Amino acid sequence: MAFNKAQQLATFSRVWYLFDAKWQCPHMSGERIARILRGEHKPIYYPGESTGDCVIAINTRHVALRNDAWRSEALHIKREYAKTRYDIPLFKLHELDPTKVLHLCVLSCMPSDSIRRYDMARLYTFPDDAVPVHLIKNVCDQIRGSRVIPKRLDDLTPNDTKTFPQMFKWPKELVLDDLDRDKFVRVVPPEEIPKREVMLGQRAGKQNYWFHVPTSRHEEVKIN
Amino acid sequence: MVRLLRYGTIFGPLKDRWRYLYKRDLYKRRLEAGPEPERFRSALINWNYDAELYACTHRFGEKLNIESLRNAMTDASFLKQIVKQRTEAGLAATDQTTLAFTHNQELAKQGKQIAEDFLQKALHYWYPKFPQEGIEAITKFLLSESTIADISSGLGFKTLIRCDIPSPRPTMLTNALFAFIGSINENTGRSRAEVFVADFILTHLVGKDINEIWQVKNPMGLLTKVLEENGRQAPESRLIWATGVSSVLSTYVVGVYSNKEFLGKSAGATVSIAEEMAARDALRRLFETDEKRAQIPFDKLYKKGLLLDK
Repeated sequence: MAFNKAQQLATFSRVWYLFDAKWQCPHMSGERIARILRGEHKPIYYPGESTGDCVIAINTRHVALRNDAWRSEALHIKREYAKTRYDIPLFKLHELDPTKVLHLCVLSCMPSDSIRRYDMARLYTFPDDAVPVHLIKNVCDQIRGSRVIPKRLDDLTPNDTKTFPQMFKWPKELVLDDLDRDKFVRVVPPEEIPKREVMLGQRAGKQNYWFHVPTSRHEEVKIN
Repeated sequence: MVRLLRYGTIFGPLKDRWRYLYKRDLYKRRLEAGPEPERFRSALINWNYDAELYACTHRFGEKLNIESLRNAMTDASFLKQIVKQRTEAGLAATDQTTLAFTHNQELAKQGKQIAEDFLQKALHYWYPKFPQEGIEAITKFLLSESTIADISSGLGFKTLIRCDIPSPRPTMLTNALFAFIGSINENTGRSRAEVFVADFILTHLVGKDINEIWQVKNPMGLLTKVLEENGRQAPESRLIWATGVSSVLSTYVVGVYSNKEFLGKSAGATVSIAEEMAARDALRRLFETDEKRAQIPFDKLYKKGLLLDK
């Protein structure tokens, strides 16, 4: 092998990235992943050329959508004939196919040209952290998520709370028991919380209801 | 419209039957006659050999004696041919020694020696850490028959050479170029001859990688040997990163280290190839012939004479 061949290989080889989607915003991670799939992060990038890298996204079941998007946003599906369109709210879509939300977010970040399909073919999404061996072998690098995963309060051990740095000392007269929140604030029972109506479909007619939801190219999941 | 245009041609359209048959017959006769035999350039009427020689000296800016140049451009086969012709004409062997010119074998030998010495000196100067074996390989490449014949035909010696065939063989072209260098040496001195070599033979290295001209069979072995000579530890290769291992476009990047000190790295489709290439990369970094190294500054060689002499 000549030197220029080695250089060429090092320049044009497809690098495999791993992306952990746990608690990441799928829109922001979609931007990053789309950039890498298209190869825009490389100096050799040129719009007509296929210079993109491969990405394996894991834990897509645990993506964190912003605000109330799980409920309020939906996948709008337009079918061929009039009055046949229907919506799938994202939480429902996520139940059907946990990889679909991230997939759609990445797709929406790519320009809608004919190369998009080939770029998207280089994205491998998995709902959990189980990845086939022949794919995880390829991985070389990882994409940093846009959000730092915080430590939840219920993950903290009593030792952690004890050793946490205090800004001031409590006065001795204070009875710490009074700080208990439930003494002063009424915990609203779930019956009293006003129920939000979830619109499944445009209208409640048989025509507008969703019967078949295509989840992947090869199989159809039938929902009763 | 087309018809109108064709009336104006020499023979007109092939409308008539007889004209068509006539032209077809001409075509067949031409095919039967075959290709034209190769002819000497001197067989054409507008050929003035002395003028060509004179132009040749001025083309290279050398002040050469025309007779000396004529000798340099005379191949041994030409002399042999003349002797043969004279014998056939019935001339005695004693008369044949009194020819006004000789062939260029001696001059060529002299010119080749000059070129070889100069190239070795120049390469030693520009690549001081490159081993002698490699420099010999590059010199051999530069002085090989194919290279020199290519340069020689590019310089227009093809028609100037006097030999027994119309288009001279590579050996004749090679001899002529070396003899030209030899005749420069005889006429204007060795330094001018060296400048000629630097101008027309050394420049053949432009755009070529000298590490590839010298093909090392076992780079890791050579690297071990070189490190041993420098009193350093044996090389150790490590995988830096790999990607797409199970895919078609698998890439391994291997680095070579000696006592945890970086020597070189390279990519390859398999680990063994990458390791071999990394060893080659380490070698060219050690020899200071890698791509970061500047090219030989051909444009600045003669600001004040040849740079090598200082």
